[in-house]
Amino acid sequence: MTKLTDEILMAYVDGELDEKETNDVRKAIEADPKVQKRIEIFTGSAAMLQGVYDAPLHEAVPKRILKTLENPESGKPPRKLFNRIADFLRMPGWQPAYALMASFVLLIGIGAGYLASEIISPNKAFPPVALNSEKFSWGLETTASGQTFNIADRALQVTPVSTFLDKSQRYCRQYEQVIIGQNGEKSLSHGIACRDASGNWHTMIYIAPHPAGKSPANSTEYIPAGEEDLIDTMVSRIMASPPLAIEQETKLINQAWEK
Amino acid sequence: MVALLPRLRRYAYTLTSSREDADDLVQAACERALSRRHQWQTGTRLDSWMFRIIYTIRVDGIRSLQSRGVHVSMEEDFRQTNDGCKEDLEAKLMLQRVLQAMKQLSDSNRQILALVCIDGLSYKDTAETLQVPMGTVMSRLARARRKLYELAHGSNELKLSTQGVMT
Repeated sequence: MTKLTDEILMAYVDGELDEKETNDVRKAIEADPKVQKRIEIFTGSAAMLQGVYDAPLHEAVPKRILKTLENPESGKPPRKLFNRIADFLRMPGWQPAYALMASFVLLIGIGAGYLASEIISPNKAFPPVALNSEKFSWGLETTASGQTFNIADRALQVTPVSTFLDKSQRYCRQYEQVIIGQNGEKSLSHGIACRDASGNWHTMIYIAPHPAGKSPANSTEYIPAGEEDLIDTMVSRIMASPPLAIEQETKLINQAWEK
Repeated sequence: MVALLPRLRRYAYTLTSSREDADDLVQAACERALSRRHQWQTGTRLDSWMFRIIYTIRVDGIRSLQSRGVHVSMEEDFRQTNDGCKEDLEAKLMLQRVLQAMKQLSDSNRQILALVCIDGLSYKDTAETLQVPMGTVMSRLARARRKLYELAHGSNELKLSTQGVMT
C-alpha cells in the first residue's frame, strides 16, 4: 500500500504517479472520506489560480515588450564607459595604420573620478599640447622608460612608462606627462601613443585631469577610478603581450625600432 | 521567444500580482536574456531559463527596494483580473480570495505554484527549472498549496500537517 502523504495525494491529483500508486490512491479515496476531504486541498488549486492569473494568455503582448525583442539596444541602460572604449579599441580604426590619426580616446578626469569619455577626432582642437608634435614623437622614439624628455621649453615633460606590442603588432608606449603652468602649478596626465610604419608616434588614448571649476562638455558618465587604474585598464585591453623588459626596449631604441 | 511571452507574462503576473509590474519584469527579463544569450545552452529549455531570469530579477528587485526602505506594495485593482467572471459572484469572491491569499505567500511559494499549477510544468521540468531535486519540488509544492488553501478558505479547519491521512 502506498503511504498517503500530502505529497502523494498531490502527485495523484497532478497525474504524476505511476500506475500502481495511482490505483492505490484511487482505492483509498473511494474507501475513506478523510482522504477525499484531504485531497480537496490539491484538486482546486490549479483551477483557482488559473482563473486569477490566466488573463495574459488571452490578450496581445504589449508593444513595448515586443519592441525589446526586436531592438535589443533600445531598452538597455547606457553602456559602461570601459565597454564603450573597449569596443572603440576593437574598431577597425584601431587596427590598420591608415586610421591611426582618425580618432583617439580622450578622458577628462574631475575630482576623484572621471567624467565623460569623448571619442573625438584630432581636428577638434585637441590635444591642447603638442602631443603629436615632432618633438614628442622623437622623444618617444629615443627615450627609455623612466627617463624624462621635455617639449616646449620644460613646460611639458613626458616620461615613457612602458613599451608593449598592441594587437596589430605595433609598438605602443604608455607615458606620463607633466604640464607646468605659468604659476608653476603642475598637472599630471597619462597617455598611450603608438608608432606608425614611418616612425611617428601618435597619441591614441589620453587621460587628462580636468581644469578646476570647469565641467567638461558632453559629460555623461562618472567613472570612479583612479587615473592610473584607468590607464592600466586601457593598456591591458590593447596589449598583445606583457610589456618589454628594459633591455629589450633599449635594444629596440638603439636599432630604431626594427623588429 | 515571442511565442513564450504570454506564458512569461502570466508567470510574472503570478509572482507580482500586478499587471504593470509583471510586464516591467518581463521586459527586463527579455533585455537581460538578450544581453546574456551566450549563457543559454542550446538544447536546454528556453522557458526554464526565462523563468529563472524573471524570478531572479523579481527577488533582486524586492531586496534592493527593501534595503532602501521602500515599502513594496502588492496591491492591485482586482477589476483588471476578473473580467471573465462578472456573472458569478461566488466565483468572483473566490478569485478575490485567491488573489489575496497569493499576496500573502512568499515569492518561492508563488514561484512553484506558478510553474506547476498555472503553467502546468511536470514535477521533473519544475525541478530542472528550479535546479533542485524532485523531492524538494514536491514538498515545497505541497506546502504552498496547503497554505494557499488555508488562506483562500479563511479557516484553520484543516490541521495542516505534513503527515498523510493514513498509512
